[in-house]
Amino acid sequence: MSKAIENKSDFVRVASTDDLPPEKAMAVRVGNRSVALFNHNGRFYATDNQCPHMGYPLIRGRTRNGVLQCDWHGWSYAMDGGGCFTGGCDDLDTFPVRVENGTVYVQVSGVASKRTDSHYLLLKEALLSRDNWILSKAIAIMLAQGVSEEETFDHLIEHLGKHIASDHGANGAFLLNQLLNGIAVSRTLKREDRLIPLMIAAKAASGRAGDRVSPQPLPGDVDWDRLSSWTRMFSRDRMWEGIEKCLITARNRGGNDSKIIPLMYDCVLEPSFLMFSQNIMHIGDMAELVDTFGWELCGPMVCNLGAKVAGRNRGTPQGDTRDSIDFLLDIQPTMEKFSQEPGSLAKRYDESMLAESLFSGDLENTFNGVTRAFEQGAHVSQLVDTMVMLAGDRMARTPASFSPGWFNISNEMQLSSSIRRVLKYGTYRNAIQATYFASWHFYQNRWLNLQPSDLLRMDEGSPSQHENSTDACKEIVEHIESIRTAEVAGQVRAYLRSAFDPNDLLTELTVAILKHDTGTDLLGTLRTVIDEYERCSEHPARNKLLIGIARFATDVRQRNDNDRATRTARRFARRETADDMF
Amino acid sequence: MAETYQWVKTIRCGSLQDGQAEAIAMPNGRTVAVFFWDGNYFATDNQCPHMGFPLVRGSVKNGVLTCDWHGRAFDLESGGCFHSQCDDLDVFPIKIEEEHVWVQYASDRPAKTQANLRLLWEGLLGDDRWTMSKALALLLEGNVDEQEVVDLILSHMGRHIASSHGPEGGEDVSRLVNGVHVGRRYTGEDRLIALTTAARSAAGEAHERTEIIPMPPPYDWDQIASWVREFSRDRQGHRIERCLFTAHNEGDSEKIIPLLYECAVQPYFMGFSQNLISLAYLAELVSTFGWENSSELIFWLGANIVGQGRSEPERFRRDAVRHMISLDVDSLVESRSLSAVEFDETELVNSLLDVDIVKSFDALAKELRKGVPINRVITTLVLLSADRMARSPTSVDAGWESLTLELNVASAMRRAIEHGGSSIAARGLFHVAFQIFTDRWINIQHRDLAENLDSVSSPGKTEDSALEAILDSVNTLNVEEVGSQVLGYLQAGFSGTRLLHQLGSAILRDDSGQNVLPTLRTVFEEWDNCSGTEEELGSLHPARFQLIVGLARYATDIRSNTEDTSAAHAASRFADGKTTIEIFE
Repeated sequence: MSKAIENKSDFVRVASTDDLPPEKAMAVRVGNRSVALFNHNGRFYATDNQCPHMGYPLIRGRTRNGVLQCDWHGWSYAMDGGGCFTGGCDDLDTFPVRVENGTVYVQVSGVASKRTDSHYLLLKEALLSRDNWILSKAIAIMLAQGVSEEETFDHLIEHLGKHIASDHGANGAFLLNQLLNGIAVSRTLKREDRLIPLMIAAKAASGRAGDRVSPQPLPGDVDWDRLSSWTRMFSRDRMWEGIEKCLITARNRGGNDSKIIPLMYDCVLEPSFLMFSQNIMHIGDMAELVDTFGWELCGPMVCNLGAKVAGRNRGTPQGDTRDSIDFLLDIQPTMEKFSQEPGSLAKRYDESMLAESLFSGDLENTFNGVTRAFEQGAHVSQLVDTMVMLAGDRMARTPASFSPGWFNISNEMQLSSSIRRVLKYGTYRNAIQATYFASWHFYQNRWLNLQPSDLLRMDEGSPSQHENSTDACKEIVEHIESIRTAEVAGQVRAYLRSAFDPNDLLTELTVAILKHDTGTDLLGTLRTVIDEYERCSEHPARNKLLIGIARFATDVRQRNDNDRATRTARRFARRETADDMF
Repeated sequence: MAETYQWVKTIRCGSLQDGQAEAIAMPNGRTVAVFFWDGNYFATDNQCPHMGFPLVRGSVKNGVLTCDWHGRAFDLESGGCFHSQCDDLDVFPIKIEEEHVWVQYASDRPAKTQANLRLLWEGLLGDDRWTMSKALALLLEGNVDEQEVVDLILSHMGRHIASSHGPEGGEDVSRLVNGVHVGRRYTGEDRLIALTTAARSAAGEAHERTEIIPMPPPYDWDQIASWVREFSRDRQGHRIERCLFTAHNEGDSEKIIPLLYECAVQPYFMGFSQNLISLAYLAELVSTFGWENSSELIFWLGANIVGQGRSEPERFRRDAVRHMISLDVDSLVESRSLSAVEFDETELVNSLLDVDIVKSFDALAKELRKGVPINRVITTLVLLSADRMARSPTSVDAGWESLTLELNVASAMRRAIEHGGSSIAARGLFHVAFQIFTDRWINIQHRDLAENLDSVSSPGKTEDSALEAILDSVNTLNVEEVGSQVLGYLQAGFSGTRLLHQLGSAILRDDSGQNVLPTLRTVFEEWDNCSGTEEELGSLHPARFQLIVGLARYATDIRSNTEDTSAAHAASRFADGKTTIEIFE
């Protein structure tokens, strides 16, 4: 070995020139990296052996005219600088090579790698292409290489804002919901388990981002009172562009940010919006978004999406729904009275009375049950506890043999739970209105034909046969994965009767649920269950949440719609009503 | 110009009910709407900024004025508009004196250049003809610099084409550039129509793309150029964009257009002569408006054009490709004689029309080798296609698309000389010759281009009456006569330049103007050439009148929309057992 080489200790001897005939390639290991060596056009080249696209070994690629092309998807790179011809963000690492006295040396350490912003370029490409692989690669690199999560989330939010502004109406809010839930669920998990929820979040944020001329604030001096009055008017007149203009003007004037969310709640809780109760969750998501990430980043999205949600077309209510809206309009003064005297958490109210009215399948009974609870001095958050627990109980018991209504029950649960955000970010009056909206959902789902059960009654039965929580969890997850809906509830019950930590089970359930493609659909429910399980730690029915989601996650994997339809049809032909099945 | 304000006395207080309005004419002729609402008076412009409906007929609710026509809503007090694609409304201060409402009115409206540019961008994004047209009209009225308008259109177009189009986007570029250039020949409404047509070619949605970043070092132009040539040959257009961007970033911008030309004139692109037109206009774009706003367009489109997919050449193309390779055009251009030579135009034309690609190419090579100036050959090709346009029978498919392609690509070779060099242009000529070969089905009677045209009589005794008769024929779709009328007019010695100007204006007013635009521009320029003094460029060429004759026939015939009739006509002859050629005889 020559002196010159020895002095440069970071050049490592990797091969003899005899090992590598012209136009051949070989892989060598330097440290923990696999390096590809090429003898091409009379020169030696060294590059990373992992194709930056999907990791295929590049020594198996083709070389021509200084261009290396990977065999798998045909991505190609300049062998000298590593520049990728098929995209800006996946440049290949290349390494200096020296050949002295028939020996090839490569300098791998200390080589300045890609651009510092290469991660964000990759993320951008992923977001624009909606390519599952690039998205998951971008998130995996973030998790593994210590890229800032906060900054990554900022990129996701900014991109989603543009995507919704150009490509979506009010329903773009479901994308925001997925984004927030993915981030929230990932935060309950260990680093190695975060990839999937964050990928779902990133997927939700991805899509085309069209150019748009950003709306300018109104000229002149327009104060908040007029802006808010116009916002309400445009919401009733379904003119979202006017709302966006008002919100932008309000923000531009300064000092109005904190008034925007309550105003949005006021708009979407108008009784005529009864059929669009998802709006309450949407505004809650926007409130959480600005609370977590700040107005500066999220303002444009909230103004645009908030306007689309509050100004959406709400159709003409018919029959039953019109009656419900009329009923709500009639009891507005009563709601006003309750909002003047907020209930107290200290008061006990008759929870089973509320449960019975929500199960009654009768419109007046349902709304009156809520009214009675408030009259008894109950606080909105107590009613929320009850409704969430009821939804959990319904999820734990709904018959899986027939149409179980998983997503309807899930909506009851998420909507009820989102009233907590109305309490936090809106007015108490808003929360009362939202409670009536949520109760209406139980009425709407009356076809589920579930009888009320005593929420306060504790489960009885034998504990788990396993000695430790790990084995018990494992068995439950196996049952979910092998779609044994009938048995999974019993196993969760047994686990909870044992002295095992329910939070361990919740974590295992979360990871198992997200691994399956249905995890995307279950994400919202999952997040609600995680939040509510902690919040309702005192409630005796809280275990129903875990039983419910385990059943939901198991049954939703069934692909037996034909079988269910056939079974129902045969009963139908025998002149049995659907009810008999239960 | 300094704005001057004056107080104008309007209605008597108490003459309006709540929510009512009255229109008052201002000294400068504009109308102001005075509203009474909620105990106060308000004065706004009476013209709705959206489409000009009188706002006094609108309704006021909660301080929001809504126009009756399309429901655009405004803050009555500040004039702010609640909609996109609409300007804010001008509002004026008022005072109450002598029991009357006084309005303070500015004689000159401020030129809202930024707002109008934003409006233009909205029109471009929404592909909304009215909004673009309105924005351009307001911008022209405000005497805004053309460059500022074109910059906006260009940067939008770059994003639009890169996110929604492949190589065919080149045709939009040619319409844009031609619209701007033709627009410069006009004023007022004619100019507005030309610019709106130009803007419309750039309109459509635009999306964010992944940022292109330069290739990491080392940078070497020769290496980049060799890759671009290779990727072009291999139809890997998507690999070219970053190469071009890197070269631009390293300061080699001026080498980019010649490189793209070099790829586009390769024999394997035989049959893709539209590329040469697209490149000519990309080159012109850069030289006229600079790189800053055109770079995305050039890199994306350039890469897509020279790297586009193409099938294996079938019989005729294969022969043409082989023969062009065997001719070694580069060396014949370099070795040609530079002394004055005799150009045998008649023989060249005969060979080009002889439906034999080998003969056609050989004749072209012979003239080039002799040292005939390339511009002189281009003139022949331009006038040959013009002559064909002037005589193509319109009773069956006249082949306008092919004939205008011949004309425009031939003329585009002058730009190839300017931006790519003579060797590039020489190779391009073979592509033009192949285009003429491809169009052999058009079956136009052969005529010697160097011969004088038969003389016909002018459609009117004076220039004015003759011009009127021609425009009347154009407007009434009289394709049978318009050609000979134009010829008669020109042979009578009346001004061709004036006729062309009027003809252009009529063309732009029809919706087909968008398609005719590139040809109109070519004819404008070639007519200028023929009216000049350089023989090379066609000065006093006996066939020069055919440029305007051809244009007039083309622009008239494509508006007749009688495809069903032609099909039926041809079909009944077919059923009689006659060949199509007989139709022409």
